[in-house]
Amino acid sequence: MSLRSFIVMLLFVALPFTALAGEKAKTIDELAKMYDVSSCKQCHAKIYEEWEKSAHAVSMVGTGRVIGGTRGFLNALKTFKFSGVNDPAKDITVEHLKPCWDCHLPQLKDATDDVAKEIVKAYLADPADRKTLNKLGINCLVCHNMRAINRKWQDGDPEHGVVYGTKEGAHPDKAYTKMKKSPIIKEAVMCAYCHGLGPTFYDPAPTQCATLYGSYLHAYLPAGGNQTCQDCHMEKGSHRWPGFITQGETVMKQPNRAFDVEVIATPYQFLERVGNLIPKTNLTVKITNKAGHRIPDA
Amino acid sequence: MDVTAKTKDGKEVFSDRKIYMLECSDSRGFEAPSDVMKYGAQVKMGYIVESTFMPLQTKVEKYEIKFPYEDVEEGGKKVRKIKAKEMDIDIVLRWQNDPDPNTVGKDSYILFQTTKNVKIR
Ligand code: HEC
Ligand code: HEC
Ligand code: HEC
Ligand code: HEC
Ligand code: HEC
Repeated sequence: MSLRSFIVMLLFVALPFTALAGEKAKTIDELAKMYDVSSCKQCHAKIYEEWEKSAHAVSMVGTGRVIGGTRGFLNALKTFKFSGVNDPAKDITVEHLKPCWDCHLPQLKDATDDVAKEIVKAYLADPADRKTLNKLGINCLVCHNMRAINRKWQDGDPEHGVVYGTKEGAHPDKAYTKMKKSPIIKEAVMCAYCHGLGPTFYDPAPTQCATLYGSYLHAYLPAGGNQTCQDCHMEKGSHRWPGFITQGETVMKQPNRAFDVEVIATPYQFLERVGNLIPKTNLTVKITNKAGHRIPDA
Repeated sequence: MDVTAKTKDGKEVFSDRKIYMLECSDSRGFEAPSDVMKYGAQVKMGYIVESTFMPLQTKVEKYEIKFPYEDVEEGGKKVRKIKAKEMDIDIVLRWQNDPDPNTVGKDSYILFQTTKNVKIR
């Protein structure tokens, strides 16, 4: 072994096991390590703490309903004649989970079928193994690396060791040593893939979960709206994304920022016909949705 | 949204609940009518009814709430007796995670709440 290749090897050993083209994780722990973001906390403490409390950080569990939903999906796979799944614990592959996980855990593309089976085991455990499921989630590297480029023929695949944001240059992290510009980071389309248009017709088992980006395109913009998702959900760079899933502080604040409600009550006696005077109140409730999409979604 | 009217003695004289949501079917009309609403991301495909709040639009709901009254015979004449001339109308708009109202602040968030006191002379 030449000295040079020895150094290269050493470098590889020293580097954390990050997503390298072609390499696949064989366990949940390996996948979590591949997308490890614990180093980010040191320098981006505020962002990290906000993210940790957000729905994105717990995208495999959420309010707990993602567990119920996934069990329902696994049961459905058993009944689908052509899915090839009789016993989810044995037969499941990454491909089978893609209809949900493309959005709830896109990292799964870098995992082997063994990881898919481990995930299924955690979901089917009684009670579900939340601790294992929460090792994975939509983290910094999903948005600042793998989903930061959507035109891959134009801009190339997201590169290993790069954080994509608004700047170019050196980045002081040990594994992610470069910053590059993401063409979409400030655009609403950054959130679009996962926040959905409607059914995912491109899957062999189309699913319909989030439809909110569709509403943004087809209802908010036509009504004259011109803000992006980031304008409303990431003010001052916040990574908290408050919503109904994690009881965000914005949602709990009264009055809620999504709605203007006006109530007009007119008590009077209505003369239906001579001799029939009806004492009543006409109540009018006017509700205006100020958000950038339908509420509620899905 | 729940609208409830009570007279001062606490008796409920009116109540109404409206649910606003995407109501989806499985769009599989060939084997069973697709006029049945379904839950579950793996099942839903398309909408039957879309009753959510549209962005930048105002939804107007109207209610007619009668004060409780009764017609009685008095000296051979029909007389209308208004049993309560005052009501409190509660209006509560909630974001609800499941069909059943659960714990407020966990699965159920109050987005707007007010009480209107109405009187006639
Ligand atoms: C040793 C400190 C350090 C660590 C560790 C670190 N960062 Fe950074 N990061 C910085 C600094 C400093 C900048 C700003 C550089 C500048 O503005 O020139 C930055 C910039 C960024 C940007 C670009 C911001 C923009 O406005 O475009 C992103 C994205 C980012 N970091 C993500 C991460 C992620 C993800 C991790 C964990 C994998 C991480 N950082 C780990 C220090 C760090
Ligand atoms: C197009 C991307 C996408 C796909 C595909 C998808 N989801 Fe979702 N899902 C989301 C998003 C985004 C949210 C949260 C926001 C919302 O509901 O608007 C969500 C929310 C949920 C929730 C409610 C969250 C909670 O914590 O209460 C459940 C349950 C759920 N998804 C289950 C599933 C299951 C099961 C599948 C596969 C059968 C699936 N999803 C497929 C994007 C997706
Ligand atoms: C759901 C996608 C998503 C996730 C997850 C995410 N980010 Fe971001 N991040 C963004 C977007 C979008 C912006 C640009 C927001 C804007 O300025 O409009 C951004 C901006 C930033 C910036 C520059 C803005 C600033 O305030 O300095 C840094 C640094 C950053 N993110 C780091 C992180 C780190 C660290 C994590 C993980 C703890 C993380 N992000 C997780 C989407 C994400
Ligand atoms: C990789 C897919 C993905 C991307 C990219 C993404 N999201 Fe999400 N988002 C989700 C999923 C999945 C959930 C639900 C997670 C859960 O149930 O815990 C969610 C939840 C949310 C919530 C909380 C909803 C609630 O009811 O609590 C908000 C707000 C949100 N996302 C906004 C954004 C914005 C803004 C962006 C773009 C900057 C974005 N998301 C990008 C997948 C994504
Ligand atoms: C004009 C401001 C505005 C814009 C633009 C906007 N949102 Fe929202 N969004 C809101 C408000 C207000 C709420 C209600 C919750 C709250 O108060 O934070 C909300 C709620 C949500 C929820 C939870 C909805 C539910 O019913 O579960 C998600 C997810 C979300 N937004 C994602 C997005 C995404 C993705 C985009 C871009 C396609 C976007 N938003 C654009 C203001 C906005």
